[in-house]
Amino acid sequence: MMTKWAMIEKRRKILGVGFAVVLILVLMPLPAGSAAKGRPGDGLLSIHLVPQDVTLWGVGASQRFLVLGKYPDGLERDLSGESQFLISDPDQGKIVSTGKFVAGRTGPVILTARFEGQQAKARIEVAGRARKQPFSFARDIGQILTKRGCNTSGCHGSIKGQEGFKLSSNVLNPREDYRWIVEGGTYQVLSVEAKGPKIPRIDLENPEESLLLLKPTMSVDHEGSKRFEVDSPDYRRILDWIRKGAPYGDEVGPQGVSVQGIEVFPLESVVSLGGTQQLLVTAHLSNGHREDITEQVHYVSNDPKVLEVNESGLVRAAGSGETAILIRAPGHTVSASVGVIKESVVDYPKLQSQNFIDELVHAKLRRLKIIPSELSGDEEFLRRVCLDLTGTLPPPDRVREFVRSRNPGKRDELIEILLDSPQYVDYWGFWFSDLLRVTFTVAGSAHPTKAYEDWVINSIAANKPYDKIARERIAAQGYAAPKWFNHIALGSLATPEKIMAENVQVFFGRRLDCAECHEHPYDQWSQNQFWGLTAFYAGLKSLKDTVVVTDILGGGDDPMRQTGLIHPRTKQQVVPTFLDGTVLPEEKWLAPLTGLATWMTSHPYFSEAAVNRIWSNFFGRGIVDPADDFRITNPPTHPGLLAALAKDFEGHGYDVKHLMRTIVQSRTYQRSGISNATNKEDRINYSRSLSRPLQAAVLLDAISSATGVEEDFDYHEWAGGGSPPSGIRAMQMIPDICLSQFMDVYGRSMRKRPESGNPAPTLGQALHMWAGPTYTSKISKQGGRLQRLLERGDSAHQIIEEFYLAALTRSPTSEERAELLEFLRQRDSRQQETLEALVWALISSREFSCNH
Amino acid sequence: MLLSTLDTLFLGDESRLFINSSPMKVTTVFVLSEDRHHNLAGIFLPVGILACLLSFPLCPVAAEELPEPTLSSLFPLGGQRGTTIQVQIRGKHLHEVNSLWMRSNSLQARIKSVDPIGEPAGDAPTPPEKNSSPDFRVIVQIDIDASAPTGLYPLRLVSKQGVTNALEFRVVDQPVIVETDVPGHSALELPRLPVIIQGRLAKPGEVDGYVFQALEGQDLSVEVLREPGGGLKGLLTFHRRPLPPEVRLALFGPKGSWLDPDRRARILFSEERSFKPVSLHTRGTHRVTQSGQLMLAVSSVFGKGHPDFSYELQLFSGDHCPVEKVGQEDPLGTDWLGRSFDREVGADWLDVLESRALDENKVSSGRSAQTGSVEAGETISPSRKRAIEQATESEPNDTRNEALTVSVPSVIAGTVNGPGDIDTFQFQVEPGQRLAFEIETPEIKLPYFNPRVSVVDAQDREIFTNIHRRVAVYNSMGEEDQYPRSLLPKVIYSFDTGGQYFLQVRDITSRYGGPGYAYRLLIRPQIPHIGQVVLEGVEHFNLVRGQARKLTISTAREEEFTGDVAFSFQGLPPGVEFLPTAEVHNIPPHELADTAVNPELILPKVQKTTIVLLAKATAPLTEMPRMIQLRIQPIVHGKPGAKLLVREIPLMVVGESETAQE
Repeated sequence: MMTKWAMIEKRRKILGVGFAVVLILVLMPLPAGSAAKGRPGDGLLSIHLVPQDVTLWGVGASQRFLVLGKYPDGLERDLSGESQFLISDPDQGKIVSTGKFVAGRTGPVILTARFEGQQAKARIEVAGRARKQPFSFARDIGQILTKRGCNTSGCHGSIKGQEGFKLSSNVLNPREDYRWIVEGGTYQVLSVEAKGPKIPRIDLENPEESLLLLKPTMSVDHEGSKRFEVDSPDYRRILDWIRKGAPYGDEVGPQGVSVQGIEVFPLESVVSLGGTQQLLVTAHLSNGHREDITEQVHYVSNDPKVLEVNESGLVRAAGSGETAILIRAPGHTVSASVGVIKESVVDYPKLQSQNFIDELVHAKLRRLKIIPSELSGDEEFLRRVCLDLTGTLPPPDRVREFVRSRNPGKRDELIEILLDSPQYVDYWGFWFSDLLRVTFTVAGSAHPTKAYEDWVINSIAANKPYDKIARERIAAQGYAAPKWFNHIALGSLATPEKIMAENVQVFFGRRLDCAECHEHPYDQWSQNQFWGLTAFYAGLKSLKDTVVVTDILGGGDDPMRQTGLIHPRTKQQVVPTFLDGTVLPEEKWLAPLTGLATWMTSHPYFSEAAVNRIWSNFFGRGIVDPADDFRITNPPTHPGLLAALAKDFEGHGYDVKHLMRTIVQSRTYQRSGISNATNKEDRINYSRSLSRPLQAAVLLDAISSATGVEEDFDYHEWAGGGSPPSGIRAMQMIPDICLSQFMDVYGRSMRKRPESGNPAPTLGQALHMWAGPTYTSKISKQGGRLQRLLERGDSAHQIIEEFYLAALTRSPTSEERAELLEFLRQRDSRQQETLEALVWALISSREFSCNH
Repeated sequence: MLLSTLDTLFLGDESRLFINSSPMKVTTVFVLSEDRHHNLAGIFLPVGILACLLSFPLCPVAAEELPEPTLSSLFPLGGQRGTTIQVQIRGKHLHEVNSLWMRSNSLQARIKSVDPIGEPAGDAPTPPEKNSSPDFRVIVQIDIDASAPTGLYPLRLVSKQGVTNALEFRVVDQPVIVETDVPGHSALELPRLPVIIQGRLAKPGEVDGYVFQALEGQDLSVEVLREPGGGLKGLLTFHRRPLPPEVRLALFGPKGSWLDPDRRARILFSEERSFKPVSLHTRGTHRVTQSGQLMLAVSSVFGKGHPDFSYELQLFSGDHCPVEKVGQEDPLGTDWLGRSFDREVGADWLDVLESRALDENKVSSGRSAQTGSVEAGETISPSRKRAIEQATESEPNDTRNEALTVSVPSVIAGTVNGPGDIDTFQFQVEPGQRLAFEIETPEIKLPYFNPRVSVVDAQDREIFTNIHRRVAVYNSMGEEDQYPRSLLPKVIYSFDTGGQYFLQVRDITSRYGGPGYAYRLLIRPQIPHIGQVVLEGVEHFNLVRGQARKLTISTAREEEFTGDVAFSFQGLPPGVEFLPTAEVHNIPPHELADTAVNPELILPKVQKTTIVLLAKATAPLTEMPRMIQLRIQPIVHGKPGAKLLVREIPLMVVGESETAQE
C-alpha cells in the first residue's frame, strides 16, 4: 500500500508535470475568425415621416414627428434635427420646435419634411374640440411627479421614501401619495397610520411656500437636486392646484379618460456611435384616442455609458453596445432598445435560417451589423449538444462514429437520440429538481422526498406538458406527490406567502417577494397584489394522519367564510385576487388553487417565463436575464423572439422536448464559438456560442466519465444509513443528503431557492483542482480509463487520442499531438506519470470544465 | 387463601372489583364504570398491590426482563405449494430453539440448523436489545403440501425460553423465484410470468435485477406484496421499532443508451409509492411497446440494506393478479374497526354496535361483533334485524334545493362523481336528539379519497364537520402545531334545536372524484358501546414459572358508554392465573380547537386497566404454545352483554433460563 507521503509526492509530481502540459494546451493558438469589413454607404435612399397619419383632438393638441432616412447599409437614421418642416396651411397650426406640430384650427393639414432634396409627407386631422378632462390628482399631479423622477425607487418612491416624504413608485397608489402631500406624516411599512409629526407638503395659505414647490426648484435645500424651474409649466400647474385648494379630483376612469397603455417608437433601433435618436411616446386612452406624451414622461437609460437621454426623449449614442431606455408614465412603464454600432457593414451577407429562431436572431444581428460566426464543426456541436441535452460527455467511440458519418441529417438524428435517452431524464430531472426544489425534507422522512423527486423525474421522463406540471405543482392537493413541495419548503406546511412568491418566481419568472412588505421598488407590483395572490393559498391545510392537503377557503373550519389572511399593513382581510385585480368569486373558493393554476398557466407570463428559462440553459443567458427576473426595468434583448418562442411553445402543447428540439436545431444554437471582427464583443445577441462553466454535478460526472472511474457517494445520515447504488451519477443525487466536497466547492445549488447553482470560479475551485482527490485520485485508479488503456498496451499516441476524445470530444490538433508526444519522449522513463499528468491537465483545463 | 379473602371483602357490592375463578379456567376482572372509579380507586389500589405482594413476595408484578426469543426476518417469505423450501430465519436468543409452530397441518417444518451470526445491527428493523446476545440464523426446511390453502401462515419458533413473535409465511400457487446473489451486475433471469419473487436487499446500496422476455402490447404489472419488515407484523405493531425501508421498483427497456450501452432507459413511470403508516401499494403497470428482454430492478429508498430486509413481489401479465394483497386474513386476530373508513356500515351495523353495549336480547347472531366472534353458546340470541332505510344518492344534488330526504336511521349509498361534486341530503331531527354519522369508503380509500361530511342548518350555517382539530401538539420538528386536523369516519352531534338539517358529502380536496369515490353513510341514534380494546405491547406470552406479568388493556368507551367492562381469559394452562390490580385510569381525549364541542362526541374516552398474569411456581412447563383468548363483556345496569373475543394470544410457561440466571 502506498504511504501517505508517497501519495503526496506522487501527486506533487503529477501536478508539476501537469502544469507544464497545461501550458502547452493554453499556449496553443486558437483558429482566428474573419472579421467583416465595410463602411456605411453615403447615399441617402429615402426619407419618411413617423407618424404618417394622425388625428389630433382639439386646438392646442400637439404631435411630434420624426424624419427617418433609409441608407444602403439598411439602417434608418433619425434626420429630424436636420430636416425642414412645412405645413400645407399655416392657419391650421404651427411647428413650434423640431418636428412638433401644434394644432391651430380643425380640419386636415399636410406636413412635409425635406432633407437633402428628398421629402416625405404626413397627414394630420385636427378633429373637433377636445373634451376637457376633469382634474385628477393621479393623472395631472402624478404625471409631474413621474416625469420629474420624484417617485422613482432612488428617490421618494423608495421603500420608505426620502427624508420622511414617501411617494408610491410610478403613482401606483395615488390615494396614499395625496395623503402624504396634503396631510404629511412619515410612512410606516407595517401600518397605514402615519408616524411622526404631520407636516403637509403644501401650504394652502401661502401656496408659493409649499415644500412641493420649494424643494424641486431648489428654493430650499433638496438632496434630489433641481427638478424644475420656478414658473416652469410644471411649477405653474402645481401652484394652480394648490391655489384651488389641492383637491384630489376625480378618480381616473369612471368619468375621466384614463391611459390604457403607452407605446414607444422606435421600439428597437440602431444608432451609429455619436448619433441621436428621438423617441416618440404615445398614450392609448380609454376613449380610443391617441395622445403624444413624449414630453410628459420620464426617461432613464439602463446604461448611460452606452446611451444618454434627455428629458425630451432625445437619445445620444455615447458608447458602443446595446441597452434600453425606460420610459415611465403614471402607472405605466415601457422600454426602447437601442443598439450602438461603431461602424456599419455595407455588404451584410445573406444568412441561412433553419427556423424562426434564426430569422429573428438574424434580423437583429443584421440591424446591429453583427455577422454571426460560422456553424460549429461536428466535434464542437456534439460536445455542446450532449452536455446541454443530457449533461453527459459522449464516449470516444461515439465521437469517432459521429464525426465519421457522412449522413447530412446526422445532427437532427443525434438530437432525437439524445432527447430519448435515459441521460436526458437524468439531466433534466436534475435541472427541474433544482428549479422545483427537491430537497430532503427537514422532517427527516425519506418518503416525501422520494415521492416529490419521483414526480419531477417521472414528469420529465414522460415528457409531461409543462403547463400540466405547473398546474399540478401550483394546485397541489390531496395525496398527490407535488403537494410535498408545500411541506418540504419548511418541514411542515409552508406559509402561504412563501409558496405563492416561489410559484410566481418559478412559473412567471417574476420576483414579487419585495412586495410582501412594501410596493416593489423596481417593478409595478403593489403590496395589495402580493397579498391578493397570497390569499389563494390561505386555505392550505394538511390532515395530520394522512398528510392530505386541501386548499378550501372559508366554510368548514371557518364558518364565517373568511380567508383568514390579514393584510399586514392595512389589517384588513384579503380575498383571493389575481394580479389583474379580478377577485376570485366565492363560489370558486372550494378550489382556489385550481383557479389560480388555470389562470397562471394561461397567462402570457407563463409561456414566456418557461421558454426563457429553458433558453438560458442552452445559451448561458436568458432573453431576459437573469431568467427569473422579468421586470419592467429589465427588458428582454429579443422581445420578438421571446414572444415567438412562447407562442410556439403554447402551440405545441407546452412540449418541453419540442422547445428544446427547436432550439438545438437552430443555426443560432449551432454557431461556432470562434468569433469574428464584428461579433467578438457581442455577448447578448447570440452571434456566436459563448463558453459556459459546467454545473458542479455535470462537471463531477464529466470527470468520472473522462477518467472512467465512478464517484463513490455517501448519503448524509439523515437518509438513514443507506448507500447509493454503485454507478449512480452526481446529477441523480439530492444535494442536501449527498455529501460531496467537490460539488460544494463548485457551487452546486442546495435548492434553498429555485435557482441553479453558481459555477463561477473561486479560489477554492483552483485549490481543489490542484490538490483535490476528485482530480488526482481518479487518474491513476485501478480499473480507470488510463489503467485499462495501459494494460491493453495502447501507445502514447492512442492514449492521447482517447483522452482527448473522452474529455474534450475532439482529437488533438497536430501541434498538440506533436508537442505532447515530444513531452512524453523526453520523460520516457516516467511514461505513466507523464500520462497521468496529461490526464490531469486535460480535466483541469478550461476547455474541459466549460461547455462551449 | 388471599383470593377468598378478596372475594369476601367485596361480596355484595355491585360496583366492586372481584376475582372469580371457575373450573373452566375462566378468570374475570370487572372494571369499574368511570363515575364510581374515582371514589373507590383509593381503596382498591393499595388493596390490590397489597394482595399481590402478600401472595407472591418473591415475584415482582412486572416480570424480570428475560431474553425473549425474537424473530427479525424470514427469507424467503413464502413458497409454492407442493414444493419443499429452505427458509432462513433470523433473530435473537434463538440458541435453544427446538421446534417450529405454524398451526397448520399443510406445512411440515424441520429445523436443519441453528447458528450464531455476528453482524452489526446496521439499520435493521430489530430494536436495540439490552444485552449483547448474538443474532442467530435458523435454517428450516418447510414441506408445503400440494393441497395447502394459499395465504399467509403465522410462523413461530419455540425454545426453552418460550415462543417467538410470529412472522408470516406465504403459500402461493405460482412459481416462486428466490433471489440469489449473482456475481457482478448481472440480473437474475425469470423463466416466465406470472412469478412471485422472493428477494432480499442484504447490503446497503444493493439493487436486485431480474430480466425477462416481454412481448409488444403485453400489459405488465409489478407489485410489492411485502416490503422489508412486512413479515414482522407483530413486532411492528408492538415494539415501535424503526420502520424498515420502502422498496423501489423500476422497469427498464431492452436497449442500452447511445451514450452508455450498459444504461437502459426506464420505462415504468406510474409506480405508486407506499407510505407508512398509510399503507398503499407499491405497484406499477406498463404496456410493452417493444418486444425484448426487460429488466425489473428492486432497490430501497436511499439504498438501505440489511440481511433482514426481505421483500416479496409479484410480476404478472394482464389483469389477473396472482396474489391479492388486500383481504388476507390477519393471523393475529382482527381489530375493532369501528373507527375506520373500512368497516361496513350496512343495515346490520346497528346490531353489531349494540352487541358491544347492551344486554343479550339485543345481540344479533347475524354478524360477528368484529372483535373475533361472540362466544358460542353463551350470550347469543336469535337474529333481530332492524328496519333501516336504504337510500341511494342521485344527481343532481349539489344544492339544498336538490337534496334527497332521508330518515333516521338510514344508510345512504353515494358517489362523489367528479371533482367538486357535493351530495346533499336533508333530514329531520327532534330537539335534543343525538345522532351519529358514520361514513365508509368501500372502494377508493384514504388517502386518495377523503370524504368530508358536514351538516348545515336551514340557514345554511355549517353546524359541524367530520374534520377534527386538536390543539397544542407538536410535530416531529418539535415545533408547536396549533391545529392538526384529522378526518373522522364517525362524528356525533347533539342537536339542541329540532327541525330540518342538511347533510353534505364531498371530497375534502374538491379536486378528485369519479366512479370509485363511493361512500356509504349511516345516520343513526347514538349507541353507547365498547370500542377498540388494545392489549398493549403484547403479541405473545412467555411466562416464567413463579413470576407474574403486568398487562395494560386500553378500552375505548364510545358514544358515552358508561357501563362496566369485564375482561376474561379463556384457555389458561394449569397453574396460570389472572389477577387484578387497580391501576385504572382514564385518558382524556385531545383538547379540541373548538371549545364548544364536547370532546367525547368526537373521540372516545379511553380507559386503561392494568391486570396481572401469573404463572405459579408449581405451574407445569409447556412444551408448545397454547392459545389463550382475551374476551370482554359489557355490563350495563348490572346486566351482562355478550362475551366478545379481543385477541388470541400464544402463551408458554417456561422455566428461568440459564441465560437469565447468568
